[in-house]
Amino acid sequence: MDLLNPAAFLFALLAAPIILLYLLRLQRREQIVSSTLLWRQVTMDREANTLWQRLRRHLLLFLQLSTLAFLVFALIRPYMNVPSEVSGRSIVLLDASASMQATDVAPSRFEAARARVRDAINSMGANDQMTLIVVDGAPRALSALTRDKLQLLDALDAARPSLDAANWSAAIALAVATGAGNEDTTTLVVSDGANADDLSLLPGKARFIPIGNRGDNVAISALTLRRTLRGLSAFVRVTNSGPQDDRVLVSLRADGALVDARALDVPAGASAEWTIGNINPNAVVVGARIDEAQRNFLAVDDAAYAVNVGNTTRHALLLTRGNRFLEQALAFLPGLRVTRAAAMPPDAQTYDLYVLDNVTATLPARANALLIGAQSVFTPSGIFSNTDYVRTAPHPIARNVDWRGVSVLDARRGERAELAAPGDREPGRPAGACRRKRRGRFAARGAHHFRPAPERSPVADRVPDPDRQQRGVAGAGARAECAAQRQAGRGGADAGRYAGDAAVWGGSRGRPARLRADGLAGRLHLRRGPGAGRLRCELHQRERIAHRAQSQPASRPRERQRRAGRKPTHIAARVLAWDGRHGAGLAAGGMVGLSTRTADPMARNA
Amino acid sequence: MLSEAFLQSLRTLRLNPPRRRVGSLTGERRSVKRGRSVEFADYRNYTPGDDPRRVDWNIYARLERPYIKLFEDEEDLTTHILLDDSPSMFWQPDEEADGQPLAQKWLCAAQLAVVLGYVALASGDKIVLETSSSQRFGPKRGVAAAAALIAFVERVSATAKRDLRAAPTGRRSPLNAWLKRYALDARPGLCIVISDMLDEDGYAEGFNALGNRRLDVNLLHTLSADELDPQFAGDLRLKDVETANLQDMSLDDAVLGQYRRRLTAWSEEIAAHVRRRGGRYHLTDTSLPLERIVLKDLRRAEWLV
Repeated sequence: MDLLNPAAFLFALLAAPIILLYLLRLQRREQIVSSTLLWRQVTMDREANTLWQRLRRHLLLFLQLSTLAFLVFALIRPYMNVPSEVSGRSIVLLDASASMQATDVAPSRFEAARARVRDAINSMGANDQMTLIVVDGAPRALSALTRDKLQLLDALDAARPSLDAANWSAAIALAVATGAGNEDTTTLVVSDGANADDLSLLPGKARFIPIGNRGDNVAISALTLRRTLRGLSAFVRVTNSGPQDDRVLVSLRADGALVDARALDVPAGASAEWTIGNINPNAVVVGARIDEAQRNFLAVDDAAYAVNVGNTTRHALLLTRGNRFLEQALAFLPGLRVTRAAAMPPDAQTYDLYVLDNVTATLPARANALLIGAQSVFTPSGIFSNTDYVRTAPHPIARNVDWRGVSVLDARRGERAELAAPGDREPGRPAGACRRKRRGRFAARGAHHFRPAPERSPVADRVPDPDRQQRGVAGAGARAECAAQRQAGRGGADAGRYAGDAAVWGGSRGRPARLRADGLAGRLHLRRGPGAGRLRCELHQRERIAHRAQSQPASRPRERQRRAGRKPTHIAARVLAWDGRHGAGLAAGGMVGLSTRTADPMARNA
Repeated sequence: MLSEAFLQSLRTLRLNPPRRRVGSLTGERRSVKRGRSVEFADYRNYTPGDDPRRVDWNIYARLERPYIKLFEDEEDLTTHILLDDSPSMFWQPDEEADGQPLAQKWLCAAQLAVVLGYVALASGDKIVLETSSSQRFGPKRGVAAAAALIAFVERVSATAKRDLRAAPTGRRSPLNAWLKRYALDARPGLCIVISDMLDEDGYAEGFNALGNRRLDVNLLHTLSADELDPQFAGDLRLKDVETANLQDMSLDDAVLGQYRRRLTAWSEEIAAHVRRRGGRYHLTDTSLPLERIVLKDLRRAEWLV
């Protein structure tokens, strides 16, 4: 500690007159007593026992001198050089992988890491800048380089641990990009175990703040189902990654009903296996769970589920113009026989799965379909590029999927409202008349289909690991309805009017256009600039819609302009006739293939 | 000093010494010596020269051996009353409080000395009364000496009051020296010390000297109400009435509580010392009525029977 104004110590001389005044002020009244024998002993007791009693006699003097001392201390302006964890430009890499949910540090490793980062933010100086990068399967910057502590703290509070593995390569690449060209950048890595080799790539100074102190954990590392002559058999493997032997109680449930439970002795660093037979062959979902363990600090890997796909061979129809990779990938899937065709075969055979690879076809009612690049089926609009907020419809298969680990390259929006099945029509009404009802049901969430990033293709993920086929939650034969939540404000000027139903579609000739769906009247509005009405929409399977939109460009915008007093910004096309064949298939079995990336051993059961 | 009716009520009381002591004359107290009272004490073998009338012939008829029958002896008791008349005994918080010429503490102590002396005289004992200023009364026997005893105490009071007015502080009479000096020529018996025990040099040596002279020391510890429970407050400079020592004190409830605890410990320490020597101890609040102290407290403490 140093002083900015040491001359102010002279003010301490004021203590002398204070003491003098105190001595002059205190005049004791004399009192004759029979003896001072006991009084002297009392004084000795008090002075010997407590310092406070001695000070209490001079409490006023003590207070006055204390006040003077504080004043002098303030006047000399002391300062201290406090070492700070961050200074200047700093990048904080906050590990949000699944292992950060371990509870060996109360309340969890992630909360402990968050507290350390919060301390670092609070210790920032006025000119310090920081960016916060959360590291999970898809590392991203929660906050840009900023001096605003509140913004950083808000971003930190919004961070959540994922069920994914930490992608340190991507995180460090992001950190390098953020701190490029500045060697003064300080990088804080707050993690329970980052790769030291990768840290050397960080720009400037790098500090590693370790979180967590114990690695005790037992996990269900494998759960597979197998059909036997006596029914269904399950294989469970429990792995103890801790340094001590453990005894765990594992239970197996089929469709929620307890099948069996057993205590397994799992040596340190090894696995224990358990095979259970006589499971109801009709059970759909079989789950294994660690109910008790002596040393288990991570709970997210204590349960695993397997889907009983049965032993019957499923038939899949692959409609493609030529995709050798996809054909080979589907051929690897067990129990699936793939028939390849360029177009829908004329025979009326029903397949368990239809895979449409950039082709269009009329699907049977309530068919399971995997659509790849099939914009036309969904009345596609432009690329739905904001995939930060992925939302899924509830489904028992997908209930344990952490969608934050799903990486979506781009997405396109389709209007499920238009996909009414023919059977849903009310008697005596035309096909288009039922749209109003269907739209009401689906208006709150539009259906979207995604094109996963190539390196995270669900098919590619499945090929190398047969075990994962059982645990995968979005198998090819399963039906999964997925929806994405559109980010607020993406709808343009009419977002409020058509809340929840806006989508962007790229015109085929490179000219932007917007497609809007009115949830109330079952209408499609094609919006664009002054050239409305002359737009030629090339919707491959929506010629009628396109045709109507082209043929009635001006009537409804004029009416709307009259009512709202605004310039025409829409063209409207009323669909008078509707071919529901496509929609029937999509409404009943609308499916998008998605898969989690389960490279993190901690999140293997996700 | 004392009413006639109160003195009459004392005629039935006797001092109760802790143990028997040898007296000087035949009296009414059992002695440790064998004598000729009617109380049987013991047998011993006959030796030539014994009075043959004291041989127990019934024993001789049965055992055919002569035994002498012994009886208790009864002698008088010498009661020593040591009355402390140091300046601290005349202390009172406010001078001439309530119009009293004498401090309540001294008045009570003097009255107790007279009462105990009167009881001893009335029971045929011999008394000696001496003050710490070396004024002595006795030895006297017989109730007729009661008037002289009262006159002596009043004279001591007047002298002490005059001396105190001449020199309010600084006149000290050490307790130990007084007790040791008195023990030099004291006969064995009962010794009643009436004092406030407020002395810088302590009391142990004086009490030990009295005990070594086979005096059973009974201490009547007299303290005033202002000493037992002081009512002072604020910043005071306390001045010792005997030594004129000064002690600065800031009195509050905590300090007064600590004083009371210290006073209790001090009195228990004195009582333990006295009892260890075979004596009795009684702490007296001098603000209490004399009748209650004598007829209730001292009788309950078995000082008087």
